[in-house]
Amino acid sequence: MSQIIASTYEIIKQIGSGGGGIVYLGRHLRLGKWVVLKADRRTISAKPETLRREVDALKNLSHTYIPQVYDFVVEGETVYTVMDYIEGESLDKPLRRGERFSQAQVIQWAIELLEALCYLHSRPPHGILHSDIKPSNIMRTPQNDICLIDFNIALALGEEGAVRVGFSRGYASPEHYGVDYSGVNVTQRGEDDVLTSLPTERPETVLPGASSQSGSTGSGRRTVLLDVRSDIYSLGATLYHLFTGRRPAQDAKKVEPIGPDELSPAVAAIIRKAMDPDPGRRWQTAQEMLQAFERLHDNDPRMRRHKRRCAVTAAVLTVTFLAGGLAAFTGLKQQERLQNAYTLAEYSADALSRGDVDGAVAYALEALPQDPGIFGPAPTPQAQRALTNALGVYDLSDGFKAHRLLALPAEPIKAVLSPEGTRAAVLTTGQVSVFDTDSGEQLAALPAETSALADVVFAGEDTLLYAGEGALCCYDLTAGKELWAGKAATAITLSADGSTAAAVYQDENVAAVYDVATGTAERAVTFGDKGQAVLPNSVFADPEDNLLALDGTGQWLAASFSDGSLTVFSLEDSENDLVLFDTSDYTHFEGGFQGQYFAFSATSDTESVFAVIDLESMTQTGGFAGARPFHVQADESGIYVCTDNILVRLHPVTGEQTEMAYTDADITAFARSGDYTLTATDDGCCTFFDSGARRLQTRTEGGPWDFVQVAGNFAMTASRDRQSVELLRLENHPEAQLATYDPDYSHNEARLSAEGATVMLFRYDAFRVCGLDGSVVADVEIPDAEQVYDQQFRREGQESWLEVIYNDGTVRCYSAADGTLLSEEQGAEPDRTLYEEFFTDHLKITSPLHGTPAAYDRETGELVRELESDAYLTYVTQVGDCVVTEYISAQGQRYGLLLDGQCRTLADLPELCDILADGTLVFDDMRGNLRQSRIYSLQELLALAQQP
Amino acid sequence: MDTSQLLLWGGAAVMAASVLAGLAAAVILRLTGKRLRRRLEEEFGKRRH
Repeated sequence: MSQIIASTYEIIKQIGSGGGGIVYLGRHLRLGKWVVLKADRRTISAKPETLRREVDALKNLSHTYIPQVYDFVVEGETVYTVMDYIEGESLDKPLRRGERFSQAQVIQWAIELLEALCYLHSRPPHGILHSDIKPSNIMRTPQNDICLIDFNIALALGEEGAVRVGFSRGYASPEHYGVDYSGVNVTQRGEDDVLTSLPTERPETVLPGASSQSGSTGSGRRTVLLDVRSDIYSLGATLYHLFTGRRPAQDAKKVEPIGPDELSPAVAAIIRKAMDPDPGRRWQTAQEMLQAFERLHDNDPRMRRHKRRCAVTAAVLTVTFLAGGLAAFTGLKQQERLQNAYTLAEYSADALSRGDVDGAVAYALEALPQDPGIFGPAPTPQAQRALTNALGVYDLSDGFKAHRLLALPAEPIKAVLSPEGTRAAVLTTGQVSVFDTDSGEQLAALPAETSALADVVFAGEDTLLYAGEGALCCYDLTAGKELWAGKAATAITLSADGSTAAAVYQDENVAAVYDVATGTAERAVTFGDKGQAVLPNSVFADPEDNLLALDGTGQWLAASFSDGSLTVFSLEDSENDLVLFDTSDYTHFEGGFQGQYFAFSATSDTESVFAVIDLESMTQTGGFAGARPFHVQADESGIYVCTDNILVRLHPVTGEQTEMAYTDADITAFARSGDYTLTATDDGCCTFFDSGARRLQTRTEGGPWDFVQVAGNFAMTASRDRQSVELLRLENHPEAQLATYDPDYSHNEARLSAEGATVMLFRYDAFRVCGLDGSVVADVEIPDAEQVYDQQFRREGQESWLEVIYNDGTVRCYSAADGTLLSEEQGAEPDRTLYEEFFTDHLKITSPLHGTPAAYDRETGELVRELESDAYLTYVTQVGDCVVTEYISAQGQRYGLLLDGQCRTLADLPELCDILADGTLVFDDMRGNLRQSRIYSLQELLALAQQP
Repeated sequence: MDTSQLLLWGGAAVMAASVLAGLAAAVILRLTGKRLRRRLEEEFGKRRH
């Protein structure tokens, strides 16, 4: 039947026919391509222009799932539409064969169909309706894709829709039948409602390769407005058929529901909505329905549950991670601050050991921030201990306590205190710095001779004589101005009455004598060809070997010289000059005047001599010689001489020696004022003694000391190696006084009786009971003292007594009120191991004789902390939440420690001797004073520290 | 062990535990997700997007 159409297409065979026309398989002669030629039946009645316009509309369609229309040709009276040839078969054929498709397969086709519909419905100007979607109009290609065919009754939509031109039963929407289910009422529109002039009857057409659906008809006589939702219904019905294998009922309301075992609920819901009789309740666009299919995965409850599970897991783990991170960060910051607090506490202790009390308090306060915030750790015991020690609230003994550390521009050459101690002058290279000792304020910085031989002395509390630049200067600290200036000077000496000064410059052979009040150079004392010893470089080295001293009233001037000679010059009559050594091997001289007596020492490399000269009789009243050097100071209060580790005051006539200080190491420097003596020793210690040569306190840190000074209530220490001087202030604590006793009564322990009226001082072989005023109530010798094993002071209610335990188990009890023997009982022999246990509410503290005492948790038995390792624990007392432990050190020193609940030290309690029932701490300074203190809380300490 | 150490090490432990738990959860959820996707593909076909 070969037929050539329009000289281009060769008709091969007929492959289908229907209401729309006859479909042929053809071939493009030139391209050799297979095409479909559809001969339109309407050629009989329709104008070719109408057909052309329709075909032109279809020709512009280009979509994967829609056949491409290529051409429109007229051959004779027949109009042919030329389009793609689609291989495969329409879906109605497998349906008729009873073939069933998988849900996934149908969904894939549904998506492809919906994409095609989206394309059609979106064609300008208002979209195109296929209007006859059904299995027979869907081709399945060999690639298992689909192609929507047969656009015979496809309609170009108007602005409000289109009228139907035909339908296929079961697949056509209710609108195709003229039934309107929208809203409540069902309306059927008659031909009077025709909105367009399209033909009301139109034969169904099928494309080549597709068969005409038997149910299809073109007999729809009612013209009802169609829109894209009609196509959606048809597609839903088609998919219904494909999914279930059942052709849907013609009446949309009688469509058999999809069973739960036929289809996934989500897919069934999509189909159900697509086939809703009411167009308003269907998918409103193909795009909506397409999205519903595309989101089947996402909208599936299992997938939602899975995603929710993922999200919840991620959220929980993220929150957990962040919470852990926050906790770790907080802990880290707290650790940092804790370490910082530890460091600051150590700084505080170091500052305190240097005498820098203000610095110690400042460091301790920094370690104890008031508002630590979330990252701040709880106050550390170390910081509290540092603050407590810096404030010295539990150090109630009298004595010189660290007061201030004065910073200097350079290492000191000389440091002196004013007579009353209210001023301190420190000479450094080229400068004299003057300070107020109480406030630490620098009162003056005066230019000085650039020599280590330069000197500075106080001529009164506010009058300073110093070796200024090129001149001896007298400076008034109150007025802040120079009073007068003399000749150039380095060494300066002042008479004890402060009226006369003498000065020598370097190794010049003349001394100038001034009236201090006026600055008048009264006379010059010539040394002949002699001069004082100097070193080649006197800027950096001052051996302090020279002696230059005026007597108390300015009548005598003693001077040593570089040739080893020593002469006492009479300032009134040079005929009376006393040459003590004309020349000698001595290189180091010290000395001074007490009234008419001149005391000096002269030291060579091999020997040292000390002598006292009566200048009235010009006789020697006393003297020593030895291999060790003698250090001598003499003023109107006496002559003081020391050698090795002993310092004595020497009576110039009788030679009687009064011990002033006895130290553990050789004395390198000493100072005296009033009742106090201060020594510096070559072991780096600095020790204060009272007038009875009793050791008041020893500072073991910060030395060695080259300069020591005591005056009034202040003391000063300095080293040539450090750019600072330390000021100490004499402190008394009368407000804390609890009781006094005879300091000469030797005892190991002191206890207050329960009624608080008497004090018991006891040692292993005796005890004394005395009143609070020191009056002796009883002195008792303990019998068989060598057999005493232990002593325990006990308080119960208003009763208190000393329990003396003997090795044989005998226990004697003595009243703390009057010292009478209360009882004597024979008990069991005591445990010789001296192992003791103490208990608090939460702790058990063990105290072995040899070993470190340790605290254990009473409930768990776990070790809480080991206590002092180098001391013997004697008592444990619980005071509130704190624990006070008392020790005897290896050196026999008694002290206490205030511990927190974790046995961390909060405070040192030096010289602690007793703890009263109300928690009051009692301290025994072993010098006749019992003093008391309450336990300070951290807040109280902070408040104290912040007081101006 | 004081509070700050407890916070530091406890927090670090919680972080480490949450990382490990996260890894384990990721593996488990990935496996169950894969299985679920495979099942959904069987039911609905491959995802188009």
